[in-house]
Amino acid sequence: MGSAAQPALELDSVSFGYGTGAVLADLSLGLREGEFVSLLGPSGSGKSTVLRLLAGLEIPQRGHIRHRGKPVTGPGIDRGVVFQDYSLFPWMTLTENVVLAIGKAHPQLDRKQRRELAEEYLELVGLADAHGKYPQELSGGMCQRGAIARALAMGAPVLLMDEPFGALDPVNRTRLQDLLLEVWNSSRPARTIVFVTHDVDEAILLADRVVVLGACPGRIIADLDVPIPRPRPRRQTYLLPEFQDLRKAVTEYLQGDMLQRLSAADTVAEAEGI
Amino acid sequence: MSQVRVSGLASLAFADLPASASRPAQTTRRLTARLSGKEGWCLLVGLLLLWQLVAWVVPARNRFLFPSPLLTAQALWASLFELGKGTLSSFIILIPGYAAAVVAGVVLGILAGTTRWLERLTVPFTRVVAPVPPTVYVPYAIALLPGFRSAAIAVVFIGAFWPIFVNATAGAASVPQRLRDNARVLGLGKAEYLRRVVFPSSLTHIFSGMSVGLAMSFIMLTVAELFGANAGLGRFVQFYADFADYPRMVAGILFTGAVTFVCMRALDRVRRRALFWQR
Ligand SMILES: Nc1ncnc2c1ncn2[C@@H]1O[C@H](COP(=O)(O)OP(=O)(O)OP(=O)(O)O)[C@@H](O)[C@H]1O
Ligand SMILES: [Mg+2]
Repeated sequence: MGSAAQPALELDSVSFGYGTGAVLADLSLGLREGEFVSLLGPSGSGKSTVLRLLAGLEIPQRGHIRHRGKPVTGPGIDRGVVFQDYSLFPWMTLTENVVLAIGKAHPQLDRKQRRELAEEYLELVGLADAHGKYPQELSGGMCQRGAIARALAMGAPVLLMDEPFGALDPVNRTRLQDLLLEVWNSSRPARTIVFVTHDVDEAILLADRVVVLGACPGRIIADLDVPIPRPRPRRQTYLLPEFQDLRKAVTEYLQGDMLQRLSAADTVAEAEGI
Repeated sequence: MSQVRVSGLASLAFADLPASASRPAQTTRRLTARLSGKEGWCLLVGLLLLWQLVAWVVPARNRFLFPSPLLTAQALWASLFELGKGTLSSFIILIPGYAAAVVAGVVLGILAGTTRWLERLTVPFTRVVAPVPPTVYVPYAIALLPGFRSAAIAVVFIGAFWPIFVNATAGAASVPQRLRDNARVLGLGKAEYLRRVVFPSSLTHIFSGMSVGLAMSFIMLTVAELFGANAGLGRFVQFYADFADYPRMVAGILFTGAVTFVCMRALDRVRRRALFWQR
């Protein structure tokens, strides 16, 4: 377990369910200040729910959530969120969406400065030409980059990202991975990031620590440190034995969880073939 | 329309029949496509022709009760100035009443749709008061308020307010979860949330309330004018009906219809501009 004594962001024996059934059961997870944690797990295992709890959008039925020692009772601009559905306000242009967020996060900036900052971040995510466009005029991947720009521009010390690169093509994906690492490295103090993804390679490449959730109910089935020094140039990193071992371990945890749920005798054989 | 739907269903049900089975449906559909948007006008022209035909058949001594389109057109031309003045005087009532209803309905509706206790407070009113046909208030409003104009404005306000309020409340209460979450993580304050998220998100509902409200204001306006105006569109119709000048009365009715139509179209234009972001 890779967390330090005084976690910056933590879930402490949290249980949660939307209706009657439990989605998360007695889940504990702590992040150090400036730590980059990837969260993996099968669909429906509760990854988005963990992020919603950390964001303060849901209140746990049992247990506590703390940010820098203080209990989280609701959303706050000290925690930036990129939602899985990367929604922006459809009646505002991309720039207006980002400007609105900047206005809340940096109230000291005047109108012009907010606009410039928004355009700067949109340029960073490769949307220089889309400033004045409305979300419904953009592709899913472009909206997703807009939502990322918005979260980064807010400059919050905590970033909660729910499959933020899910809708991106491989080229934009690598570019944004690099951008995210750059933003993470360059901020002082370093930002604390929870990064949900289905891509095992991406999870390992970016993170200090990979946490795997199992489903029904959601619980942590693996919490693995990534013992690879940074920077991690893609080509070399993918060939490192540490990387391949970790990749194998994570994949096995994911498959193990799936097999457990398919344990009805006749389906097991089929699943092993995959 | 219904025929198209029925044949469409039939071709679904017998999907493995030869393709020719669905041909009549296709022909109907093609015809509808070519006519689309113009059916209403065709019907209107047809009705005008029918009207002229009936007017020819009606015995001469009843003709003053049932004026021909030609006679009505002449009456319309002759009273165009008077009708214009009437429109102006009607609008002096309609515009303040309707505008006040829009502002009050939207503001209160958005507050009621987002504030639990306010919503509970207004429920008895929307259940009991809103469904009362507002025309019943007309005589009392005229008796209660000083002058016909203020009474008529009040009555137009009441008529237009409820549909706008009820719709704005529904719109504000149904802001999609993901937009509410977005607003919350951005740390929007209550006022900014209402203005920049709830209001635009409720616009679809608000505009449907506004269009019902506009139709309602025209009804309230003309009813009020039948009671006590000395000018206006409703008054025009009432006046010539009293004098049995039916060509002018019919001309007045048609003119009122045209004014209503133009206003509804204008509102529709505004709606489309305001909701540009919806596909
Ligand atoms: N708003 C909701 N109301 C009721 N149940 C919900 C709601 N949101 C999620 N759930 C349930 O909670 C469980 C976890 O959902 P969650 O969205 O956290 O999964 P996830 O790990 O993010 O999945 P995915 O990888 O598909 O995004 C699921 O079983 C889901 O059905
Ligand atoms: Mg999810």
